[in-house]
Amino acid sequence: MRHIQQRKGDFMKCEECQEAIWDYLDETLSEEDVLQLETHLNGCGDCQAELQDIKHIKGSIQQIQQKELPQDYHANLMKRLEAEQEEANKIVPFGRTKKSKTWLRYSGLVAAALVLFAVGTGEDLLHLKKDLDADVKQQTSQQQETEEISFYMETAPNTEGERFVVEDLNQLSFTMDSVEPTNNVAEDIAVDMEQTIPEPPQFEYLQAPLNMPTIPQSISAGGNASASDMASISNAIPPTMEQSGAEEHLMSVEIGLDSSTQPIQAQEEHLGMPITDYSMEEHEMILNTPTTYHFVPHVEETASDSFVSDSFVSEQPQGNSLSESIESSEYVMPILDTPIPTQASEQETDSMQPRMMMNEIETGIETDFGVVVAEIPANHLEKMDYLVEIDVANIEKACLIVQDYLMEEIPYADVNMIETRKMRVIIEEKDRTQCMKYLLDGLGGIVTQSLLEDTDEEICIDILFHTI
Amino acid sequence: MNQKHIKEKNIEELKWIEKAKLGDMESFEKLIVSHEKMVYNVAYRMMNNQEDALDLSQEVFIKAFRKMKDFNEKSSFSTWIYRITVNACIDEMRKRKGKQNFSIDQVLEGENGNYEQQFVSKEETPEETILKQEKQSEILNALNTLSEEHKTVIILRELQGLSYEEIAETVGMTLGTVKSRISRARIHLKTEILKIWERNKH
Repeated sequence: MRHIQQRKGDFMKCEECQEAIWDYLDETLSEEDVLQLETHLNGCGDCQAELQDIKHIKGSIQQIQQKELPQDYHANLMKRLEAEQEEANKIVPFGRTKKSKTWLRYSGLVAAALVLFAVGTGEDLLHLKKDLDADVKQQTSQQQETEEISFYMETAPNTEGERFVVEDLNQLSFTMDSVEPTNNVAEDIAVDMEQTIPEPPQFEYLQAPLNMPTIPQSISAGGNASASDMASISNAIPPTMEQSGAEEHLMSVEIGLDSSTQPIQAQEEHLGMPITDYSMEEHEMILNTPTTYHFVPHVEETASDSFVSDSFVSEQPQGNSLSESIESSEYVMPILDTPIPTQASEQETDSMQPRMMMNEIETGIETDFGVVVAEIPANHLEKMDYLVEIDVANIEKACLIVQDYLMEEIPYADVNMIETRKMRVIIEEKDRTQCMKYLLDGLGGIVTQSLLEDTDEEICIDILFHTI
Repeated sequence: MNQKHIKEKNIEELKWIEKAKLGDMESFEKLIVSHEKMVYNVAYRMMNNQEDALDLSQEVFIKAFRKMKDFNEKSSFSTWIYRITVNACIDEMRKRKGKQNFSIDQVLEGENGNYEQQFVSKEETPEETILKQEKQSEILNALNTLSEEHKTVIILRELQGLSYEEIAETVGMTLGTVKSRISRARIHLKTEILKIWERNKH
């Protein structure tokens, strides 16, 4: 029953009145509001009853007394604080600097170099830097010398976190109806560059100024990837990317193919091992995203020598395990866990094995999933904004899945293993929501520690994996 | 009963903040000593048991010490500490919810047990004491049926007596949003309390 304007001067609705009663009893209402409320109360039985209820409730709330601090609360707290202070003085700050992005940064560079290299002839990587300064036309004409490009293709991780080499690229590229790449003989795609010469540049950014800072993260091939598309992809890398911040972009081509349709049995055969020991249904998110194929240039034998040429390696930070692994020509691009088959006969069996073994992580050395493991004390948390704990069946695979997701979805994510079961993710503030949503909603992670008073532009999330 | 709240940054506190930021433990101690009870009480009401309140509230001060240098002084120190407390409690509650080992009934039993020990006062007759306890646990039971967000604002407003402005700063929302959230929370609380009273025939 409403009593609007029942009395002269009463402009208050019951809802408003009942909302204001709390403040009225707190005596925080303005004089004007008090007058209005009292006017309404005088003419409204419902609101008078409400006033009595709230008075009663407030009275009961008043009965709740403040808890006294337990004995020795302050003394214990000070003890803990002093211990904390000592600990903090001991720890050398762990660099949350750009340095920690080293491998990520160079992975893009490596990808770019390889793609560029693949379209150039084998011996001219050293000249590549000069060529980078040349304009687009020159670069295109240089590519005319190229006779053949070889690509390897990999599927995005499936639910089990495995990647597969797509052996018959032609089939996938040209007839997207097929989803079973295993039945066909491996065959490198041969792109005859001469075919592409008469075609004008197909992408806008080919005409863009030379100092264009970024390259497209992915190019949707829409199920119609053709040889000329691939040539265009190669062309698409702006000449200046080596100096710019664009290195962090990885080249990938999205093809709308659902890896989940691939029969598990076929996957297991292909992999040569069972993959059923791990089930994370929560990873539907990954499943639902379109399969991404990474083009790994198949580097010919002459490649390995030029690839580790001085011009390239000299840019690596010294003493970095990454550069060492490049020199040993076994470096695997982090996001692509199939080795570049420089000596195909030796490595072929290797690539069929799961890339990361538990002992590799435990010894704290570099792992094949492209993460440099550094041992950091367990209590070293001062740089952490969130500690997320995730229960998983298989830590290695979970690491791979999480890493792949973050690397692909959050371009500037910096992902490192800092302990055998702890991953440190550094992202930009703007990606916080997406990242946390993935970790908490997607993976069922739980935030066990958080410091929200972070004024930095970067967010540091530590992920602690527990085996179920 | 309400905590006396520091509304203005007095000069002394500013000095302590300055020194505490440089890692001076003595200044930090001075800064927190007046906030200990308040933080403990918020944690107690949020977590609804003494053990968690003790752990969490001390953790809050350790976090605050670690993060002291990042305290930007846009809000008052007490608001900042409240914010850390509320966040820590909500995180902990969500964590438990996720693990599903959080039983409201169990916690409530513990709460009542604690009350019996804590509120026996010399001036009250046993009957009065029991009645008072009952009333309190009714309110607290109702409070525990609320969502984390509603529980938070009710604790801050009705139990700790923070102003709307202070609550807005603490939970990081606009004044308007906070007002409407408090209003909804009050309606829920009232409904729950009346339900309980109806059941217990007051």
